[in-house]
Amino acid sequence: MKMNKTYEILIITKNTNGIVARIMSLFNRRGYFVKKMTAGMTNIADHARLTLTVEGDEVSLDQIQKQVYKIIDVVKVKVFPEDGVIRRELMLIKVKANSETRPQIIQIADIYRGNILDVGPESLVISITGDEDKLKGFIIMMDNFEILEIAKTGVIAMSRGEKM
Amino acid sequence: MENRMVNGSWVLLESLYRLGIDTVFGYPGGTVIPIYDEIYKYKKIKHYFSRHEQGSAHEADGFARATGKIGVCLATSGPGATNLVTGIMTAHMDSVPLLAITGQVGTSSLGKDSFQESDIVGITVPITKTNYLVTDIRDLPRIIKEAYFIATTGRPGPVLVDIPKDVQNSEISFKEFESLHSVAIKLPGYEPTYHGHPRQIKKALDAIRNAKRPLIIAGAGILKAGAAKMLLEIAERTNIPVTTTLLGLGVFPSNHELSLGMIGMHGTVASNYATEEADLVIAAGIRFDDRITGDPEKFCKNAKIIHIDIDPAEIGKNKLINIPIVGDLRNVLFEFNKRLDQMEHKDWVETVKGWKKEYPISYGESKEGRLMPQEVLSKLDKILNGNAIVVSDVGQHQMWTAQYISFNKPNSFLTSGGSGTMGYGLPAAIGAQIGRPEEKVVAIVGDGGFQMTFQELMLIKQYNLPIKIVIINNSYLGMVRQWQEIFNEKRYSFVDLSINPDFNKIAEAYGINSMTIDTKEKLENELRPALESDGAIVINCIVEKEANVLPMIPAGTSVSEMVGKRGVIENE
Repeated sequence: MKMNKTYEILIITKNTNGIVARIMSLFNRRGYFVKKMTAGMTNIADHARLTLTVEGDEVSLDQIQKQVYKIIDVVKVKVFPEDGVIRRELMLIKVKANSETRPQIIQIADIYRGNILDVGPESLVISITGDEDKLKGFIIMMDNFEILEIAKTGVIAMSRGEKM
Repeated sequence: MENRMVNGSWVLLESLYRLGIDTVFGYPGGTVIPIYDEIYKYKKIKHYFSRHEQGSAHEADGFARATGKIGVCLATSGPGATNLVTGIMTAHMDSVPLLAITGQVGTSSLGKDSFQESDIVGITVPITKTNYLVTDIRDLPRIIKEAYFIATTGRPGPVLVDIPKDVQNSEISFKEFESLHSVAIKLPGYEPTYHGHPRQIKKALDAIRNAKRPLIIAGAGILKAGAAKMLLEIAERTNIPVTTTLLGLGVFPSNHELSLGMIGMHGTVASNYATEEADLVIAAGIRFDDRITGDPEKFCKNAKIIHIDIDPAEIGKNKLINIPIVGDLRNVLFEFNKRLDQMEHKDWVETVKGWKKEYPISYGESKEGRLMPQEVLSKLDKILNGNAIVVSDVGQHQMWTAQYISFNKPNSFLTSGGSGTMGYGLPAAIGAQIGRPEEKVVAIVGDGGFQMTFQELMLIKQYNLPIKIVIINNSYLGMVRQWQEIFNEKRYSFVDLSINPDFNKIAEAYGINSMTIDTKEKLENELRPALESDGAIVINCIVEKEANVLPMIPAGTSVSEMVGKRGVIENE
């Protein structure tokens, strides 16, 4: 039996036209499921850093790394180990709020070190940063009110210590 | 002179020429008119005028496979570019260095569904090593150099460069071109591994020294690395039997006593038995295609596997490997050759020879008193005697070609293996003949596939190419018919080609000689003079309609399921 786990793959690539499409289509056609993807500029000029959260077994993970590396513009591919890695995701969440529920929501958000970004007569927008479990926990708490909207960035990750 | 202006089309041609490219196969159209205008004036590159862009791509592919150089094809935007797609995919599957150049609508018209606009870069992402859309003439010298470098190094493959019409027309000074051209290419994300890891090589050598029943599976990677001679030396010194993949045919002499012939679905009994019995398999330049492995779990089930390939992504893709070596076969086999001493493997070699003797490739008799296709191929083999470049199309005749023609020299057999592209044979033969004018080129095609690209016959006339075209004409899409016979209880669904054009008249229409061979007498007396004649000829061989390619290991199964070991399907 293949054991499917979730992994974060780090990809550093020259930021050429269509590179994200190129990478994503590779995952698609080789049958890998990408759950989340973040992309942005990085400290190396003209390069982008992507973090993909994928589901798969270890053998297929090894294979997809090599396939990604075959994309000419890709200069580095690595799978983050489970430990020694900082993982963060940013979530914006809009919750229904009135004068009665507002203080409760703000209190919970405080515990989660969330920021209130917008207060309206009927709603609150809160930003939360953290790993998947923390965001999940906050969503469960907010379910007691009424969630109107959620936007998440996907995971960005970085190894602890000096090495990439 | 230094300050004269040059346009993008000239920059393209000059960049190609400086890379040693002097042959291009193409078809004009609206968005490549500037390039064609420059071709008209530029005398250093010879352009061959295909009659369909798919032809251009296969011709460039055949040229590349026959010469070992890059093949270049050129097409206009939209339908011109999409017509190249099958040919690019064919080259991609078989790792053939191909440079496809397409025209594109002007940069200001991009993304507006303009006339003959297609996103050919997007379309060809999965079937190229890489591809480019050029938006500035100043990028062109670098991109052409990169494209050539990427297509021809590491594991070779196709690269596409899409050039909008305004880029073809825009100008820079000659001086600026020179300075742009002189910049060295820098591709930090592309560093093929050429040398095998010493520790892995040592492990492999130890395994070889300890093996009792070793087997070499030789693939096209050895041909591409130019390491056929080293393979022969190693095999002879160590007495290790050699089987080859379809695309590896020619890498090891068919007539050698250690040669087992082809492996896989329609491979020899000896080859496939050897994979079952071997305790060590040296898989060199192969990619464990499903037509070779059948059920990958059961393939080589008693063997330790050493896999040598330049593409790290091939290691462990289809089959778990015990000792992987990533590197150029030339370097790795050089190390093997240097460090392996004489070995005998007497019992093993005797066993293997016994299988060869007991199960030679063979065939039954025609039910209708017709020529058997295998008989034609066998006769062809005797006449050619290894002195020809043989190009096949795809289908039953392709497998019979692989089984009956002896290939003793590298790059003497061209066929579409990975993609199985019908219509490949004729244009690829044209490319091969243009690339190697001194060689005899024989195209072996089926009556089905021939009809897919026979418009390219015009090039044979136009460029006076002495290609011999042998049609194995069984009035069926024979391979599909065979599957329908074996797996679908003879429900022959749309495979009947009894309504075919008159191939002799088609040859005549293109101004090419033709003949029909439909009896043993004609086969005996007329095939040789036809093959030895000076010009081109279409030889229409009418053969048994329902002959089967045997032996056969049904897809996804293993050696124990092999049928037709003695050339006929046994009644079970």
